[in-house]
Amino acid sequence: MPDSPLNTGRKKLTVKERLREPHILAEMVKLSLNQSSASQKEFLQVLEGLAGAIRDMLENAGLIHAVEIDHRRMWAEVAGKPISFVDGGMANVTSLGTEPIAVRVGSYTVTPGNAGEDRETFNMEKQLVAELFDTSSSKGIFDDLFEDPSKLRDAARFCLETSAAVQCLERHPKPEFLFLHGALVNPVSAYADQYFPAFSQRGIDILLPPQERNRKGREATFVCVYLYMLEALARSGANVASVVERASASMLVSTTLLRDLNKFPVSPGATDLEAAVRRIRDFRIPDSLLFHAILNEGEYITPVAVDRNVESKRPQYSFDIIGLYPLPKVTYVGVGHFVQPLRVEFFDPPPAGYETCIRLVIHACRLMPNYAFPAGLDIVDKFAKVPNWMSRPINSTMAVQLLKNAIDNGNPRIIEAAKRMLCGTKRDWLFRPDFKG
Amino acid sequence: MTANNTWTPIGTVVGNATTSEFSFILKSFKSRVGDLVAVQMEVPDEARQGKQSIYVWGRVVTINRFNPFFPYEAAQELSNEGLSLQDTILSNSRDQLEAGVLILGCTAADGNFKNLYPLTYPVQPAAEVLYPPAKAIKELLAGGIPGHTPMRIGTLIARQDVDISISVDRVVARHMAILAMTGGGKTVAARRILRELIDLGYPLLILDPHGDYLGLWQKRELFQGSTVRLLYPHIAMTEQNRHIVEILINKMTEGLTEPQREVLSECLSEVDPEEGESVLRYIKRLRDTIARKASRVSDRRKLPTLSVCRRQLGVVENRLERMELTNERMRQRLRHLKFEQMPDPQGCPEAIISPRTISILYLGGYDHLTQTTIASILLEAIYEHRANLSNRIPPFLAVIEEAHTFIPSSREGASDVPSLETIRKLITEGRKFGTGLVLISQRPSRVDETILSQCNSFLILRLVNPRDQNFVKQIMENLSEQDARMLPGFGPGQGIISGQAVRFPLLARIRMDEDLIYTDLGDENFLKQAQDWKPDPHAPVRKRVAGKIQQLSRLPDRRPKGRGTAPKHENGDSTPPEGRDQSEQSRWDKVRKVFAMDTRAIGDLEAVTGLDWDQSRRREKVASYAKLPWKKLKAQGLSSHKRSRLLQLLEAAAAFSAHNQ
Repeated sequence: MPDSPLNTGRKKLTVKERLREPHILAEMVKLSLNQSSASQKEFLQVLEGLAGAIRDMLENAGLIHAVEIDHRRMWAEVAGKPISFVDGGMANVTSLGTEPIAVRVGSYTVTPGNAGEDRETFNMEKQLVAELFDTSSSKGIFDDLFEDPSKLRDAARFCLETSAAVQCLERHPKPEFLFLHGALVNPVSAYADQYFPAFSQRGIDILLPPQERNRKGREATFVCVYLYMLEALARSGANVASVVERASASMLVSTTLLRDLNKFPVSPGATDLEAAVRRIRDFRIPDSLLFHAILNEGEYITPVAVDRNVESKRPQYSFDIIGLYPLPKVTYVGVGHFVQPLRVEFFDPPPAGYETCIRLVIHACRLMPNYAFPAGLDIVDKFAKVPNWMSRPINSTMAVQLLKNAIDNGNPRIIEAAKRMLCGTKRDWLFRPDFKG
Repeated sequence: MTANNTWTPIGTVVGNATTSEFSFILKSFKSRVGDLVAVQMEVPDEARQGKQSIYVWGRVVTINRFNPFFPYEAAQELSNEGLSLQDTILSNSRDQLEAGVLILGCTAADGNFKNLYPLTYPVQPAAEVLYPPAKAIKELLAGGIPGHTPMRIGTLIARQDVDISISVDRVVARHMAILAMTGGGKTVAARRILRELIDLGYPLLILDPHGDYLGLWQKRELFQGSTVRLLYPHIAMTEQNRHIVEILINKMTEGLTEPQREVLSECLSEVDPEEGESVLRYIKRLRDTIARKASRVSDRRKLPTLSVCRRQLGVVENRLERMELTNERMRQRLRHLKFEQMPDPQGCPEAIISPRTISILYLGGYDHLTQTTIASILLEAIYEHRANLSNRIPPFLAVIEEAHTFIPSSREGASDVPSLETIRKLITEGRKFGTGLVLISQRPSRVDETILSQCNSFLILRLVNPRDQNFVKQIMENLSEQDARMLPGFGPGQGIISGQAVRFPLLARIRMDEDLIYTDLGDENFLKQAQDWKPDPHAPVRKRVAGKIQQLSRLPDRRPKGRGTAPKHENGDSTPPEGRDQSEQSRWDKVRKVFAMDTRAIGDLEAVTGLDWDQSRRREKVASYAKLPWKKLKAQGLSSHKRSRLLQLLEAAAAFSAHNQ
C-alpha cells in the first residue's frame, strides 16, 4: 500500500472544526439524548478528546491515508476492467411470519471506457419465492414456530447475496472488482445452534454449485453453507469488497483499532488504550460517529481485522465451524463532509491493493456527491429492489393460502395461530381474553 | 386481415386502462409519438351472452423516457468534472419508455376495419400492444366517410408509408380552419388543399392580403383546364349598391348623424352612377354635387349638414385614393403578373366564381378597414347570389388568409369590422347554399371565437403562443391535453388534423407541393436590399425643384395671363381690378362689423356655411381678420383670391345668422 500524503486537494479540517459542523452536531445530539444528563454534558468533550487522540496516534503511526480525488485518473486506471456490484432485495412479506422467502439478488457489471453494447450487463443472479429451510423435520409451521422468524430471513439473505456474488464472479468476462452492499462477513453465531433449521434440498440447489449439493445434516445448515460461499468468494482472485453506509451502534472497529495500536511506538500504553476503550463504551460512541470526527473527505484508515463471531458467543453445536470463518478487514472511508464515513470491508489485501479499491469506492461515491454512496451499488440496489406492487400480491396470495389451509385443517389452535400470523400485532383486540376465558 | 406475423408486438399494457386511454411499456425504438397502435382483446358481445374479439386502435400521444438508474446529482458531477458517462460506472442502457395512448375506437378483429366503433370495455391490462403494418392502417383510414371524395394531404407524422386523406365534401361544405404560427406551414397546407380542389375543378375565391397565393398564377400551367385570375379591388357603383358609400363613410370615418344620413341619401339619389364607374370616382362626383348644392341652397340650415357630408366623403375619398395608389405601386412591383380589375360581384358574379376558376383578390396596400370592407362587399354580394338560389354561380369555397383581420375577436375592440357580420352569416348559413370557408390565421386567439368554432374541421400546425394554444383548446372539443402539449413542438408542416374531415384526430405531416413554390414571391431579402440600397437619384432634383417653388411662392401673386395682370406694387401684393376691389372693399367693411367681436374660429364658419376657405387657418379667430380694414387685410399677405373667398365666407355666415334670427 503506497503511503499517500494527507492531501486530497480539498479543505482539511481539524477534529474540533469537524465537530462544530452542523451535520455532525445533529448526530451527536441524537446520540447523547439517550444518555444521562451528566453524560450529555461531557459527550462533546469526550468525543473531541478521543477523536483528537486517536487521529494523532493514527497519523503518527501512518495508519491514516488520503487519496487524491481525480476522476480522470481513476477512470482511466480502471478503463476496460469489468466492475461488478451485487445487492439483494427482499419482498415486504411481513404478514407471512416465517418461512417463505421472497428475495432476489441482482448484479450490475460495467466496464468503464467501453462504448459498446456490452458495456454494462444487469443480471438477476438469484430469485426466490419459496421456502428455503427444511421444516419437515420439525413439527410444522403452525404448531411450533421458530422463536425468531426474522433470523431465518436474515440468514437466507446473507447466503443468497454471497451466493449471487460467487455466481457473478463465474461469469465471463470475470469482474476484476466486485462490491457488495452490506457486511462482507456477517455474525453467524445467532444462526448456528442446533435448533436453527437446515436448508431444504431446494435451498441447497439454489445456493450451492452442483458438486456441493449432496449436503446433509449439519453440512446443510446455514453456518456451513455460508462459510463455503465466503471461502469461494475469498479465493476468487477478484478484488472483493463490501460497503456499508448505514450507521450502527457497533463500536467494534474503534475498540479493535485501539487495542491494535498498542503494537505501535505511538501507543501510550495498554492501560491508557483500555481506558479509551472504556470511554467509548461508557458513552456508547459508535464507530460511524467517531470516524466521522476523525476522518476528512478522501481519508481512510488502514483496514483492521475484526472478529464478529467471538468465541464467547459461539454455540457449541457449530463452535469448530465458526472458528474457520475469515476475519474481515474493515476500514472507514471519509467520503464527504456532510455524510458519515463508509465502512468498507475486505477479506485480505485485494490483488489491486486497498488503496486502489478504496479510491474506486471514493470516486464512485463522488459521482453522487450528496448521497455519497457508490453509484454502482445504488444502481444495483434500485435494480434488485422488490417494489411494493410485487410484494402486495405475494402477501395476499400467501395469506389466503395460509388461512385456507388452517381452516381446512379444522384445528382451532391452528386457526388461532394463522390469525395471529396474519394480524398486525399481538395486542390486537382479536387476541384479548374474552369473558369465556 | 387478422393479426399475424406482420403485426409486431411492441409493448405491454401497464397501469390502469380505461376506455379512452391506456399506457404501455414500449420496446426501445419501436414506436414514435403519433403512431397508430392496436391491442387485440376480447369484449362482451352485443347480446352479452359471449365475447367477441376486437382490435382497439389508439394513437401514441406521449412517450416518457427515463433512466431510473441515473441519479440527478451524477449529472451535476459529470458536468462539473467534464466527464463522459461512459468512462465511469454509471449506467445508460436501461432507459424505460412509457407510452400514453389515446384510444380512437375499435374494429372487429376479422380484418374489416371499415367500421370504427367507440370502445365500451376497458383495455386488458398486460395485453400485448401491436404495431400494425401500413396496409392495415391504410384500410382503417380509408374507411373514412362513405361516399365522400378523399383529398390526400400528407402522411402520418410517424409513418411516412401511410397517406392521410380528408373528406373534400366536409371541407367545402362545413368549413375548415388552418391555424399556425408564422413558418408553421399554413401556406403549404392551404396550397395542398387548394391544389386538390383545383384538380377537382371546384370554384375558389382567395382573399390574399399579403400576396401569398400570387404564385398560383405564375404556376397556372400546372392546372390544366383551370383558370387562375389575379384581381385587384375595384368597387363599381351600380344602381343597387349605392349604400356602399354610406358603408364606407360609416367604416372609415366617425359616421353620420340621422339628419346627415338623410341629406346624404338625398344626394345619392340625385347622382346616378355611370356604367362601370368606380366608387372613388362616384364619391368625387358626389362631393362636387354637394358643394354645388351648398352654394345654391336656399335653406341655410342645411349648409352645415351638407358641409359635414362633404367633408366625410372627402375623408373616404382620400383614404381610398391613397390605398389604391399603394396597391397600384405594389402591383407595379409585380408587373410580371397579370392583374385584372375585380368584376362587379353584384352584377357579374360569374366573372369571379365559376367552375375551374381560381380568383385571387390581392388586397396588398389597403389598410385593414378597407380590406375588410372590400371583403365584406364582395363576399356578401356573392353569397347573396347563392342564397337567393339565382343559380348564377356554382357552389364555391372562399379562402380567407389572415382571418384575424377579417373576423377579429371582440377582445380586439374591433367589433365594427364590416366583414365580421358577413363572414358570420356565411359560416352559419353558407353550408346550406354551398358556400364554404377556409379560415387561415397565425393568431387564432385574435379571431372571433364564435365564428372559428363553427368550423367543423381543423388543421392545427405549430403554435407557440400560450394564448393561441389555450384558445385552440377551447374551440376544439376533441383536442386532448396531450395533443395540445405537442402544438409548440411541431416542425414545419406537421400538425393535428381533426374534425369531421377525418375519422379521428391524426398527427399529420403535410405534403409539400414543391412545384408550386414560387421563389420570386418569397420573403424579401431586406438585408440585401439595405446593403444594395443607393440614394434615390431623383432626390436632389426633388429638393432643387422644391426650393425653386418655395422661392416662387414668396413672390407676389400674379393674375393669370389674359386676365389683366395688375402691376406689381411695392409691398409685393397684386391687386384686382380697381372696380372689383372697391366693390369688395365696401362689402368687407359692411360684413366685418358683424364679426368684429366674434369669438368663433374660421373653422366654425366653414362648418356652418359648408364653404372651405383655408385649411391651415381654420383655428384662427374670425375676429382677428374681421377687425382689419380692407387695406390692412391686403397687407396680411393674403392673395386676392384668398381675400375674396374670406369675404364670401363671412357673407355666407352672416346670412346664415340673419336667417336663424
